Formats: sequence, C-alpha cells, structure tokens
Amino acid sequence: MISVERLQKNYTVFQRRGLTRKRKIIRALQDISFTVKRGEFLGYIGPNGAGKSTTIKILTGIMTPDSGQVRVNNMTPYRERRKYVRGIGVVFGQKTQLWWDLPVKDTYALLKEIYAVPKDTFNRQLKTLREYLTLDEIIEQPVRQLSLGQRMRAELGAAMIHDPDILFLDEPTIGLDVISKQKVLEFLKVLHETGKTIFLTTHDLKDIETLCEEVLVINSGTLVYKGKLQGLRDMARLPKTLRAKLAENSPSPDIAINGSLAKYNLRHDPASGSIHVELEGSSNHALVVKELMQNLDIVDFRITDPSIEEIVRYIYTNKMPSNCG
Amino acid sequence: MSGFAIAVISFKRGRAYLLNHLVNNVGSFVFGYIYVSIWRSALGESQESSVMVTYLMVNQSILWVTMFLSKGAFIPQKIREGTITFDLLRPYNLLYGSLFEVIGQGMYNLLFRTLPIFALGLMFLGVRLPEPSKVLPFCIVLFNGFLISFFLNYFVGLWSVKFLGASGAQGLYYMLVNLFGGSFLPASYYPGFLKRLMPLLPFAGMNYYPASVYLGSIGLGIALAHQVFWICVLFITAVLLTRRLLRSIQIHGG
Amino acid sequence: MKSILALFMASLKTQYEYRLNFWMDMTISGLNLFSDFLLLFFFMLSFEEIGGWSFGEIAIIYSIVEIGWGVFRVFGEGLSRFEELIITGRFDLLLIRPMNTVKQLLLERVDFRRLGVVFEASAVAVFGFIRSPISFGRIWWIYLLLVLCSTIMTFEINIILAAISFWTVRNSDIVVLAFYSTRTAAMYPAHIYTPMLKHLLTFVVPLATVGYFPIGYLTGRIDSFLAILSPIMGVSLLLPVATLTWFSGMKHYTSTGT
Repeated sequence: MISVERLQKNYTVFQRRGLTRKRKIIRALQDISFTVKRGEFLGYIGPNGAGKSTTIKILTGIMTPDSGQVRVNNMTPYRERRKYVRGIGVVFGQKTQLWWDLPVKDTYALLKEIYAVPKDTFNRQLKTLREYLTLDEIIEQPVRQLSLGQRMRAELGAAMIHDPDILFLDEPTIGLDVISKQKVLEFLKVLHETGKTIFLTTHDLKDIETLCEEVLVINSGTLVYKGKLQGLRDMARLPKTLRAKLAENSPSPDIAINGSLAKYNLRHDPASGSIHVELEGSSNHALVVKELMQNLDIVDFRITDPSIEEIVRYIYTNKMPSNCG
Repeated sequence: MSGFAIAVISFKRGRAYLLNHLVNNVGSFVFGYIYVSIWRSALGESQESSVMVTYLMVNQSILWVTMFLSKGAFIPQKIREGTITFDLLRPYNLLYGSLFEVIGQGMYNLLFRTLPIFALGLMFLGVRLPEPSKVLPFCIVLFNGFLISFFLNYFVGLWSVKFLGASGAQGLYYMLVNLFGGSFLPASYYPGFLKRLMPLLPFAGMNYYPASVYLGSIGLGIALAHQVFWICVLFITAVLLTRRLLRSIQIHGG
Repeated sequence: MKSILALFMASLKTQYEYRLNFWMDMTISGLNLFSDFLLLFFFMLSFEEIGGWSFGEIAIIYSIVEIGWGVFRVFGEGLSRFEELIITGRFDLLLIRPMNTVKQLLLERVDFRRLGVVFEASAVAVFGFIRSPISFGRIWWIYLLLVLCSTIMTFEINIILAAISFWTVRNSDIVVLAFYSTRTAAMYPAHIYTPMLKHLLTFVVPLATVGYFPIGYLTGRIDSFLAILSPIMGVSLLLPVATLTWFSGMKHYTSTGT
C-alpha cells in the first residue's frame, strides 16, 4: 500500500549568529525506506525534529523529496496530488480543517461536495460517524465553542467523510484529556478493524502500545527501527522489572536484601512497602521469584516490561544501530 | 460542485458576524458623507454636484465587493493559523478554492454591506437610481471589478506565502487601489498624464468604471474592453504564479 | 523606568530583525497616507478651496490630526487590536504583571514602522505652511502644542473605545464608526458638514478642537476666543472620561470573568 524507497530530503536554513547569516543544511530525511501493507496500523515515533512531519508531508503529497521513490495506493503522491488526495484522510493534532465560526455540520456538508460523495453514501457515512464518535451533541455547534476533545472527534469525522482507505494522523491526541484520548483511540481501532490503513505519528507512546502492530522509529532523519513492538523491547534489551509487595506487618527486609538476596540488587521502597528488582533477559525469572518468596513475606508481585518511553529514550541516547536498511 | 459549496460556506461565515457588519455600514456611510461634503462644498448645488454624490456613494457601497474584499484572499490568515496545509490537501487547485471562497464573501458583502450602504445613500444623500438600461451593464462591470480585485488580493496572498509577511503587500495594495481606483476622484480630475494613465490601470476597473457605467458616463463597451483585458492578464499571471509557488512549497516545505 | 526601557528595546530589536520588511513597511505606511493626501492635492488643483479654506490651511489641520494618529499607532498597537486581547484572553497576562495595564499595552509592541505616517504627515505640514498665509515662524509653538493635544486626545479616545471591549468583547466596528470616520472628518474644515456631525466633532469626539478650531482662529475665520482654547479643553475633559471608562471597564471584566 505504502512503499517508500531511499527517501532523501534536505532543508536549507539560515541561522543568525551576531551580525552574520550562515547557511545550514539540515538533512531531514536520509535514505528512508519502508513499506506498509494494506490494512496495517503503523505507529511512527521519534523525537522532535527527527523527520516525522517531513515524512508525513511527503506521504500526503504536499512535499517533494529530493530523491527517492514514494508510492501510495499505486500513485506517487506529489505527482498526482489531486487524484491522490481523494483517497486519503488527514488529521493534524494542532490545526483544524473545520470552519471556525460555523457549526460542524456545515464543514461536513462542504466536504461532501468537495469529495463528491453521493447523497446516500454521505448520509450513511454520517450516521455511522455520529454513532462512533458521539457527534450528536456537537454537530450543530460552532467549532469555536467546542472543547479540544470534542473538536478532535469532529476532526476525525471530517477526515472520514469521503471514507478514504488510508488515514494519516499527525499527533492527534496531543493535549487531550484521558477520556477524549480514549475515544479517539477506540475510533481508530474500529477503523483499523474495518480494514483501513492507518499511519499514526505520536509522542504518546501509550497510543502506540494499545493500537499499533508495527512501529517505525525515526531519529535524526534515519530509521532506527521498524518492526513489532516486542522487537523494539528486545532490541533495547532493557531489563524487565519485578515489583513485589510485602505484607503489612512483615519484618524489615533489609537483612535479607543485604544478605542472602544481595546478588539481586534489590531496592526497597518503605513508603509503598514494595521491593523492586531488575530482571535481565537471560535470568530465570521463576527462580528469582521462588527465592524472593522464600526469604520475604510477599503477598503480591508483578513483572512489567520496560516502558516504551524507556526503550525509545534508550535508543535515542545510545544511538543504537538501526535494524533497517 | 466543490466551488459552489465553498462559496456557500464562505457566505455563511460572513453571517456569523452580521451585527458587527451592520454597525460598520454606518461607518462606511459616514465616510461617504465626508467625501460628499467635500465635493458639495466645491460644486455647490449643481447638476454636477448631484452626479458626484451618486458617483461617490455608489463607490462607497461597492468598495465592499472590490477594495475591501478578503485580505490576501484569506491566504495570509491561513498561513498564520497553519490551516493552509488543508488547502494543499484538497483535490482542487489553490487558485480555484480561493476564488470561490472570495466569491462567497463577495456575495455576502453585496447583500449585507453594499446594498445597505447604498440604501442609506439613497435615503439621506439623494443618490440617484440608475437608468434601467444601465442596470445590467453595471452588474456586469461590477462583477468584473470584483474579479480584478480578487486577483490582486490573491497576489497579496501569494506574496505572504513567499515572504511570510503580508502587511507590506497589503499596504501597497490599499495604496494603489486608493490612489488609482477612482473611488474619490474620477479620471478627469487627475492632472497631466495621469488623466490618461489612470483609466488604463487595472485599479480603475474596480471603482471608476463600475460607477461610471452606472452613471452612464462611460459605455459598456469601453469598460468591458478594459476589464476583460486586465482579467485575462491577471488570470494568466495568477495561474503561473500559483504553479510556481506550489512547486516551491513542495520543495521547501509547507 | 528600567522596565519600560527594557520593553521598548525588546520591541525595537524584534522589529529590526526583519530589516528589509521594516523599511518596506515603514515606507508603505507612509505611502498610504500619502495617497490620500495626493488625491486631495489633485482635487485642489481643480477647486482651490474647500469650504472657503485654502489648501495650505487644510493641509495644516490634516497634518495635526495625522501626526497624532501616527504617534498613536507607534505605541497603540495593543489598543487598536484590543478586542483580540480580550477574545484570546491574553489581556489576563497583562493583569498578572505588576505594571499599569495601559502602560503595558502602549509599550508591549512599539511599532516603529508606523513612524512612516509621522514623517509623511510632517511633510504635509511643511507643505501646508509653505502654501498658506500662516507664518510658521510665529506660531510654531502653537502648532507643536496642537500636535501634542492631537496625540493625547487620540490616545484618550482609543482608550475609551478599547474599554468598550470589556463589556462587549468585540469593538472593532464601533471603532471604525466612532474613530476612523471622525478622524477622517476632522482633517477637513468642519463647517462643510451638517451641524450634527460638526457638534459631534466638537463635543463628543472632539478632534475638531485640535485642528479646525484653533487654526480657524489663527487664520481669522473663526472669531470666538474659545476656539484657540478648545484643544486644551478637549484634552482635559476627555482625561477623566478615559480614566473612568478604562478602570470601570476593568472592574467589570475582572468581576464577571472571561
């Protein structure tokens, strides 16, 4: 569905240093290649300035790469722009395509005409959107009166009026409260289940965790990782964390921590009454648990994977070799 | 048809601020009155004076579909808000979309600004209604004046894309239209060579020609010749500039 | 005092960054005014007088009003766009700072490009004095005083109009009606208008008192001695009105919330 090969994009910026102006070339994208299959839900993450926006601009056809090939839906976006955009939907977290002073439904009516959606199809689609995005309460309201969460729901509706097969989203959950975020993600999940291809850029790594099968990590213009989430965890090989809760009135664990269990480098948090230990990938987790339970009065425990934040941060800062290209 | 839908929504947007615009109309009327007073003090109570009153007030009214259309065809505003990106993601050309958006606003202004101000002029200043034979020609010439204004505004908008600061181009536009549009002074009052130059410039097509056709002092043929020429020139320039600009956006980033 | 200077310098520096734009904008803001004046010039080529006043005299009152306007626009960007500050809630940021809100508004964005208007209006004044029988040498101090009054009065009027936003949020259309049109009207001899407008320009938005009346007196066209005193009267009477309106507006705003 989406095929990107050896994409390059450079920007020239002018920096002012004192009285002089220097030209600097920023290599926004260096040799990016990846493919996205039809119906995939891809997460695209990276620090600010890594090249995410540039990639989206190229994929949506509003920017031309310096070199490389892009094919989406069997078209080259920036070459066949007008034909191409009829088949995509785009959502930006920080700008809206809704007309500010007018009710949401007015923008929807406009989009119906722009994308030449037949009346019956439009009515059906609108009904579906109203249901899945709970638009009934906001569709008649002027956009400027909507809260951020409501606006984002309306925005998603707008992007889907013409029922595109591919949806590009650039930071759609930014600034949203928990409930609104939830609703957005649920909607995207539904779309995915109906077979849409979704390309999501986000900073909120929880979004990725819940939804994406595959992730693409970009850093300073190069792809650092493409694959499953689990693979990302494996790649960073950060340890899992075991959290064990001690019984209320158990004796101080410090003796055991510094004694028989010293090899595990346990950490004790008296305030929460819990013990933390880091489990390397290679260690025998069951054995560790057994030993802990033998020496400490444990009532509950939990093993958690390193969070995405930790993994990604680790990758960024350690400039790990890419698994791509 | 997308164009029509764009015009409709643009029209509706104007209506959201109807009350403010009606207050503004009184302000426009006062401006007209000032100019009328100046001319009256010069021409006294004469036939020419009464003709000038009509000329001035017709111009004041139609300024809202010519000179005072959207600043930069809404493009500078879209750039500030970042929403220009969406205009680039639509299955139509930027020029096309801007044109219809401005047409929508123009229709709104025509109904809720031009007509009320004109009505005030009729009621309080003795503005003369046009002869019936002049009505249709006036409408045609007015529409052309609107188109000319659209293109000029569009250029201001494109300028703001390139240079990220529309105010210079916008100010230049106001100055040129003010100076050469003829809303205060018909061509015959310009001195020297300007008397012949002014009617040849595109700006004259926005005010001088429509008001003159209204009054019958200039024939439809001459007015059309002038306007159609400029519309063609401006249109071709607009298409070329749009193409160039879009290409450069594609290369340098949205 | 230092904070005022700091704000001032910050504004200046930001604008100087965009050098080319700066000079261009400055020229253009002057040119706009110039185009109005040029049209008037062409008009006067055919008609020598307006309401019995010669072109030179008109140029003088024109310049007085315009210089006041130009200086105001240099400092008054915040006041001109006041409705924006209320709508976006940015005015609250000013309330938080330990400085008089009006002072902040006037210094926050000092727009030097608008000086183009001042230069141009001064050129109009020079032209006017050359063309008119009034000798600049004799009355230069009166002229400067009138310019000062015009400036202060422009500020006062705009403070009152901006304060309207405290109650109605949007005020731009009222500003057009109450200020832009009256300012334009005040640039020409007031007796060419209906008595209603003339009285409006004398007693309500008293811009006629900084140009028309005093200059009329100096040229002998207006007899009453009040005419030459009127600018001082106008400015003084507006001061309490402006202060009162602004502070009661702020009170209303802070008590009812955004």
